[in-house]
Amino acid sequence: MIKKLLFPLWILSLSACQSEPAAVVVNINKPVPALLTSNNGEACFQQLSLRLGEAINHPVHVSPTVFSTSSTLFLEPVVQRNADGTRKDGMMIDKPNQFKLELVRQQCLLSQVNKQWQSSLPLCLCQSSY
Amino acid sequence: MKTFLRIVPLVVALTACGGGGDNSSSTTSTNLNPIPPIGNFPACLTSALSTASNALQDGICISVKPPVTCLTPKVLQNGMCVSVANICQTETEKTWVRAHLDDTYLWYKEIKDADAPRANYNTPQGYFYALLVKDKDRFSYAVSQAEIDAYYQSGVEISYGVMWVSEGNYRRVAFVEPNSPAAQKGVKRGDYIWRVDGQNLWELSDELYFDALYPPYKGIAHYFEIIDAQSGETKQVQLVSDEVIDNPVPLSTILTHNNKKVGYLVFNDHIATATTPLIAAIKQFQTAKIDDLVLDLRYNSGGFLYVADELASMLGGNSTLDYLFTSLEFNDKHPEKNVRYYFERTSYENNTVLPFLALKRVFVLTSNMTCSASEAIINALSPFIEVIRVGSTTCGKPYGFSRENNCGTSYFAIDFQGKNALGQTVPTTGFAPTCAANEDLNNPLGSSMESMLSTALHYQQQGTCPITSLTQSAKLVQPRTVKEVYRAPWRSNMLTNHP
Repeated sequence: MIKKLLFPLWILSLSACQSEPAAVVVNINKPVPALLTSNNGEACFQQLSLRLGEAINHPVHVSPTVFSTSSTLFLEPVVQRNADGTRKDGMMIDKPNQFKLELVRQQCLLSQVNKQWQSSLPLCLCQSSY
Repeated sequence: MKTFLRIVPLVVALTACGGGGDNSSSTTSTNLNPIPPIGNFPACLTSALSTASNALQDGICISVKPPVTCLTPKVLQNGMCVSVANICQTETEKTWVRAHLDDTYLWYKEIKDADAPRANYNTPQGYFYALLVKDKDRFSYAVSQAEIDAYYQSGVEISYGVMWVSEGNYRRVAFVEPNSPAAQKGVKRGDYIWRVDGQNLWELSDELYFDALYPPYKGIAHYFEIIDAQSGETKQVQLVSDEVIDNPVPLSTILTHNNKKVGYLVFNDHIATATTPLIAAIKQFQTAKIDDLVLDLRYNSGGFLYVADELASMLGGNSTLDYLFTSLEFNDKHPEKNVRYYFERTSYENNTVLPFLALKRVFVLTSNMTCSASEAIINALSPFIEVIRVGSTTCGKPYGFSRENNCGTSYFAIDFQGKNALGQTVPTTGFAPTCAANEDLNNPLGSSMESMLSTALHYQQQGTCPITSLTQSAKLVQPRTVKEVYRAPWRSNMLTNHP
């Protein structure tokens, strides 16, 4: 009986091995661009804001849609406006802070572009953006 | 004499060693017992290397320092000259403000202290404003550091999602962000706002007015009485501020006019998230092989200069590639900060190659809200391709600031101005339009009936402004020489970061 049950599984596992083309073998150690999955809760966004704040040494606000369609995030200083709606600031010559979200070994990894800073987000769930 | 020559260096060396120590010795004692000099030998010698002089006291040479005075921006504290930065007492903060402006302000030489006696100002912020060069500077400002310390996801602002413009005593809705609180309540372009929380707009104090139209926090609610421009009906809506994701490029389309393809691009804000849709729009225009482009900057009051550079690079294409986009000049105390931006071929965001349009001219729709980085696009392209400005005079803000914090206040004093490849800056009175046209809130953006766009289309077809438009202003001249404004192959844009 047991043999009968295991035999199809054995065949399946063999066929799975044989049919796996080399091109789709995923290197789980290699970071891939990622998005936050839709079922992430408040704890994830709090951790994300906290980590971003640590990276740039300022309080950070992100929207609930952050990293939902793009694996890249830009942070900018809060825009100050005049009574007529125009920006108070002038030509801004610095660059925005740029972050990317990646998936490495099923973990979310947040990195600052052009900087050494990176941090994992254990309270968040990520998926490859490919 | 030989003995004297031998002793003098020894004494000098010894007294020189006495120059350090506690500042408590900096006052001269009057209780000295003068010891008569021996022969020609002076009582005490002073080293030429020391700022201190020496005096005899109880038969010993002691170091006597002159009363200490500190050069601005330092003050004496515990006997030492220390920086005034973040010593949070009103007078010290005022000293910091004066020193800061003296160091970084673009017009530091023109500050008139006589017009702003520091004793007249009770706060450092008040003193800061008093010192500004009023006939040139309408823009420098100071705000609470706490208010602006936060960073936001690019494009996210606390608002109702409405862009307002003034019209007499009213405000009118110029633009509504899709899915914003205002859009959800049916507010639309052209609507008039005349009352807030039961009070006429023109009767509100500045503070209430600003707070109502530009809520600083999420969850602020106000009741607005709105008149529909088409039907004339009045309705009351409650708007609650929320995080709104602005779309900096809300519209790009291709119009067919006079059998020509005319691209129309609305660009509202130089923020980081603008780059991707700008590139997509230009690719769309490239594929369609448009004949002309109308760039609508009427609501664009500036932002990141690199975004302006990338858009201008795509419009200028090979005509401008590697030429000077803009040079930023600081005051003569800081020539090391001067920086040059060149027209680019790749995007900063991901280094992708920018699509180029081979335009010989571009129409730009402008208003008094067209400022700063938007004006930089006009100014930078003008030496290379014809820039036809349609609308009203721009705001005249070719400047930038470096933020400096002190004692909880962030000071933004203008510290640089931009110049194009011809060394021309945006006039402080703004760019006058080639063809004048009024804002037309009764028609949607992108409609050929909308007065600013229709004026541009008239010029596109006829080569002149409509009769109803005002006279044409002079066009900027083409560059006489291009050598000095061309990027050498080894050169790259040196971008400075100011905290």
